[in-house]
Amino acid sequence: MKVLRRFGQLLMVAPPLAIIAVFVGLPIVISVIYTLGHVGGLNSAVSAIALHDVSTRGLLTWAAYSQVFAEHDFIASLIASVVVTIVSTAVVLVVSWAIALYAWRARSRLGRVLSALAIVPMFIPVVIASYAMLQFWTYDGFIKTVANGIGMANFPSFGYSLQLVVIAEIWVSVPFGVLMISAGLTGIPPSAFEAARDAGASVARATWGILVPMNLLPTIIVTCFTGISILGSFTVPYLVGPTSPNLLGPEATETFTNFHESQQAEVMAMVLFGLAIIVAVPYVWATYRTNKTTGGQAT
Amino acid sequence: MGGETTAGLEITDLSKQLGGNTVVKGISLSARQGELVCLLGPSGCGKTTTLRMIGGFLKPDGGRIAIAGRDVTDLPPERRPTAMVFQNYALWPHMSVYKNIAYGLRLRKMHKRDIDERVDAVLKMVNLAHLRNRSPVALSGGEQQRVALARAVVLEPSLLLLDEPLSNLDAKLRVGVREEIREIQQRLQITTVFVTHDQDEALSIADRIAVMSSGNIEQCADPDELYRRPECRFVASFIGTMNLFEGRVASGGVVIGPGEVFVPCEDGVLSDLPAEDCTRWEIAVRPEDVRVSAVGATDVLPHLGSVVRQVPHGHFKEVLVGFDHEVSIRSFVGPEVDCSGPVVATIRRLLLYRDGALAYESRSPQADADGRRIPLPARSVAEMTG
Ligand SMILES: Nc1ncnc2c1ncn2[C@@H]1O[C@H](COP(=O)(O)OP(=O)(O)OP(=O)(O)O)[C@@H](O)[C@H]1O
Ligand SMILES: [Mg+2]
Repeated sequence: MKVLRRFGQLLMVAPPLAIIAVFVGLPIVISVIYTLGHVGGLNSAVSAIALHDVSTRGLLTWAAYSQVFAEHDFIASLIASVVVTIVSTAVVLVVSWAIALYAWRARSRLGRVLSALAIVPMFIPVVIASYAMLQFWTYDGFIKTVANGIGMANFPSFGYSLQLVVIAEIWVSVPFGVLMISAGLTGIPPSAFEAARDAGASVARATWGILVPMNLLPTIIVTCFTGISILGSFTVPYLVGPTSPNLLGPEATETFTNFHESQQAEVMAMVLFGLAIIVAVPYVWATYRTNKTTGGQAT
Repeated sequence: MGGETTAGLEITDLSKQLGGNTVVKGISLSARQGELVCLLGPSGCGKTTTLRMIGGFLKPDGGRIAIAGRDVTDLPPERRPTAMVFQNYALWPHMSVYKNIAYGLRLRKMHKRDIDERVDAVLKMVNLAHLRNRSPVALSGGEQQRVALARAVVLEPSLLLLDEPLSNLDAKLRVGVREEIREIQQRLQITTVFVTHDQDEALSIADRIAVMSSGNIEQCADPDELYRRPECRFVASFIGTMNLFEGRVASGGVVIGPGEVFVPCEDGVLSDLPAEDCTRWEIAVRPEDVRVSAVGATDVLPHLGSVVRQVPHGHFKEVLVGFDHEVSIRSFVGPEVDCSGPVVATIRRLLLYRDGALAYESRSPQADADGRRIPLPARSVAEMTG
């Protein structure tokens, strides 16, 4: 009886699982073994047009990896990816918290307007926003023109720079941050904060000691998801970033389409994947902990 | 504000507008060191607003607040010597009971050993030593309430603020916890402001009660005084049960309502008033000050009534005596009073109000000389039925 029911449940999830396995899982597996030197079989097509790919007759070879990691450009892009991700995520966190906190504490019209405005970037396509950013910040853009006009000829232009990538990534990510943090804060009774003030904590200490821990899961979700999405982002760095070093997304694409080094491009994708897993660890830990303390009632 | 006052709390002319309404209208209130003052009033009268201004969570529009002789009006909550127990307890779910209580002490940079000592002492005081390392999420309402109290008193505040601390507890627990609060408050001699809308609660634990109504303090007095001598109509109707009629004074009694029902008073009740007075009064009579006695069928008196409803309360019963013209008087009588036939109601004590303010108070009946306590019914019934 029980076995039968188990089987029934399994049958129900089988179709989606099968779709994932065939259309996502299989390509991943094929890619992984390609990066490890298996150029035949299902990889023979991609291998045929690829330049500089390494192959093995044995079980596997790390040759493609050592090749990629020996490249100066790649290392520079890897560092750029990590730095841009950390800086942007940190700024997104601070900005989201600041806006959400202001709206939560002030409960005024300005607070509501501010948190509504913070969502606006969500409705503007990334491509359009990126071009707008570029027009705004580039060497003949708005900022530079104004700076020139008021006699600041040396004012930096952020066009095609990692700085502009950071600015654009923040623009793209802040709405999600504000939404998550605000949603979390609305679940916290104001008296929890006031009780901390009452006990002698300043606004800053009460925020750090009470609100942040009580709103930890949304904060971690914002951190991890923002981090992962910036790490693997393509449109923003491709449109507004420098040629090299750039984030790994455009770097891998360039390696694939311009240099035809399919295997190396896939190695870069693997590196990105590895980084994303590391970023996701706090999220998994936090959900696990929350499930444990609330007996699985809340997410 | 002079620095020489050593009053626990001194509020002068405090006012606050919220959302365009004046919610607190220039109230003044003081509490002696170690006194427990209740802010009592109907919902929406501004109790919480007042308390939040005292705690520093709301900035008053006008007036001053001094605690232990020091003006704190412009200080933020963290710099006031107050500690508040919130209606929803506001315990921090990510900290254990111990950490909740120790938080304020840690902010004061005390030594770990001293913190432990004080937290353990206060936990013992509220009988929660065994729950020291529990998460507050895993506590019952009563336990959470006591943790909140412990968290407040561990800071040894000059002023303890409680906002309806018992409203989330069931009736039985409420009585127990309020006695516990009173006991701790008296032991530690903490000046306390206790907000409640429950008059039983206020009457049973307060040293003094400030009755609020729509942003004003109507009367501030000790429970006995408040019950016996409400200074205005609002307090008279709000505190305890009260018979309130429109009427005038006649010889030997009062005449109630448009139907001119005559109700006799005992000798001396109206002795300080001219016998025939045409003023329209608001007449207030406590149910325990109405004597109800059965009359024989042969007695023919002009003011006979009959009991239209009775509610037994164990050792006494509450009866509603109906007269002609839909006039009725509530009374507390002993269980042995015969309510089946016609009855006579006699007033033993009354208060007269004009324009909402107390204008006349009859001398207390003899039986009151020994200073009885509230709630009155049981004893007064025993007294009046001999
Ligand atoms: N933020 C606010 N904006 C506008 N009006 C408010 C605000 N807070 C409270 N009020 C109003 O002020 C009045 C007093 O509120 P307050 O919370 O002090 O009442 P209360 O006496 O504590 O009542 P309760 O017994 O129901 O808690 C109410 O009429 C309420 O509607
Ligand atoms: Mg209230």
